[in-house]
Amino acid sequence: MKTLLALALRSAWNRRLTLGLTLAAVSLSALLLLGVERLRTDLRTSFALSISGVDLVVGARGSPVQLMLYSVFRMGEVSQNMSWASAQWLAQHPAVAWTVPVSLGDSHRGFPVLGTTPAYFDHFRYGDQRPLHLAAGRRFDALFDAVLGAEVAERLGYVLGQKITLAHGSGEGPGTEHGDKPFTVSGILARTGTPVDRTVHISLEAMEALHLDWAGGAPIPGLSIPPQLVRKFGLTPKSVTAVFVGLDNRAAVFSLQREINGRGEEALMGVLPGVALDELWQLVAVAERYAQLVSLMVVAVGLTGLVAVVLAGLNERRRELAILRSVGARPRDVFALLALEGISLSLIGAAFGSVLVAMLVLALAPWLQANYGLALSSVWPGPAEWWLLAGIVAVGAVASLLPGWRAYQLSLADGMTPRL
Amino acid sequence: MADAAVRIADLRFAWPGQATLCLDIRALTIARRESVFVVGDSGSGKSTLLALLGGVLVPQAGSIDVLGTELSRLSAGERDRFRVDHTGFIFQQFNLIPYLTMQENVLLPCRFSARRRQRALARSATLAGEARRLLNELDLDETLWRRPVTQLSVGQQQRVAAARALIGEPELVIADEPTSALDAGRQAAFLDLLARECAQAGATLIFVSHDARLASHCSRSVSMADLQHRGTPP
Repeated sequence: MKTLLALALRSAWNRRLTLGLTLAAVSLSALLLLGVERLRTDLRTSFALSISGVDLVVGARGSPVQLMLYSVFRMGEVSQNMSWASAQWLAQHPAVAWTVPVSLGDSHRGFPVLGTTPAYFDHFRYGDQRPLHLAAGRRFDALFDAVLGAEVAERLGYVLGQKITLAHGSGEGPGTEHGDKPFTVSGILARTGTPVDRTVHISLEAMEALHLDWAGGAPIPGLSIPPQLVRKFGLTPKSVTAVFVGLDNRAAVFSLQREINGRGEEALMGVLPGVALDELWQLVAVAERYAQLVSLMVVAVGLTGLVAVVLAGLNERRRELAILRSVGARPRDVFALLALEGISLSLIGAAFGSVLVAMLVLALAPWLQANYGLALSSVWPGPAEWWLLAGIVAVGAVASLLPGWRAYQLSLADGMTPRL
Repeated sequence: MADAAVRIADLRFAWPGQATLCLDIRALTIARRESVFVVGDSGSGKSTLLALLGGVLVPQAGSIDVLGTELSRLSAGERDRFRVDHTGFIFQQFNLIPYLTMQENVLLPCRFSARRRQRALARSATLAGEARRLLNELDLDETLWRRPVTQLSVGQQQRVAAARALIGEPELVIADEPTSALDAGRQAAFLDLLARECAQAGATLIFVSHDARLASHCSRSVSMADLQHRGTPP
């Protein structure tokens, strides 16, 4: 066996270019298969960990998935806000323990701005019921204070006391800066690995103050209210994007949801975060399945190529195999020599594939974190991926029996003199 | 005659699916330490005879006895083992495995046969030492040893193959047209060298060729045409 292994290695090294390319194909196909799986599971985990402890997300009636994506993950948009009156009604509802109203729409250099109340810092939970922590400074206190997520502060190099200006909407296009009302960084949150990290938090009143002299998404011509005068106006918001609701007793969630959905004054909906996420996954499941199918096909192509290369090499190696026969190699040694090659290649290919996935995760994780607040958690394969890896190796091994068997037959027919 | 290297009696062999016998040999005996020249045209069954002697093929009828062992009584695996333990082979050309060094090529039989390894170690302290001894013996200069075997001349390659056939002192050396790719002058020189080395090692040499002019270098000459009885299939 040692002799065979040494021979297989030397022989493979002799054909390193062809085998190397084959190996690359198998590795890349493994990368694709594992990568799709990794992205799928990690994104789910990351989404699920982004919000916890919130029993209901309430907003204007529409798509529950959209409301979740926008209010929790800052993705997409919702077309309608809910009224402040409804938010007040929720806050005073006997079944409700706490509410956190949130208002989105502005941005700072690409990072979303969230208007909320101080209760946000008390009640918002992520991961395994973990509360938010301030790494530095304090919550917003003065009207134009801002609390930064960890990623915002790190990426833009901001420190406490820094003056920043916000932009209306996504901040693209001219004339959308709220340049007249600068904010002061009062606090910086500890990193959470969620969309909170890339959020600029301000008070709802400040959000209202920013837009006193705005209407319909643009400054009102000829009207400019300087920051020192905004206190003269009522800064109670007229509407918010959504309200996060915590209940005294979680069992009441469905009856409250029914009450919210049936409220006559305003068309509202209450969304259970878990249910909305499940709905989201159902939506993307079709795309996921296609991605999985395509990556499975790519693996099949990779392994077919591998077998083809080993088989093609067999013809050139008939004389080599005949020589080995003359010095005592048995037909089954010849079989092992060829099968070993295919099995090793699929094994190494699968291993390379998972190393590539790990490298890709390390390379992509900061980008995903910075742009979407999504954490790719694991560098090492998860349980499902181990099965996929085992599958690649198993299929590769079984497929490698073909060249092995072919070599076995040839060596029986050829003996010591190949009939070429 | 316990000291016969090869004894064939009433041997018949036909390739599967073929009506005529490829080999039909009444009797052939080759004594130990003899050097026998087997001459025959292509298609006369020479290669089949060698495959039978090597135990790669088994006859449909008759007996083929090598060094006192009836080959057809051995299992396929035992024949593979017997072959490497007792026989060294040299083929027409491309005898060497291209990705192995000269020394590794020579030592191949010792990798597959414990007997050959032990006998090689009985002559030299190390396997590498024995390989070097044989390569020197066969006029392969030390400067060539590190060269990839594919860069050697045909004559040099055949001498490496001879060293491989001789290492571990097998009782039988079978050469199948080893000189056909050499020019006339070198053919005789190679055969002389091979016969001398076999004699020195006490090995029986069976040298097969279509070229009867080389027969004089061996102690005895046998023609395939004379051997063949050409009867009906069994």
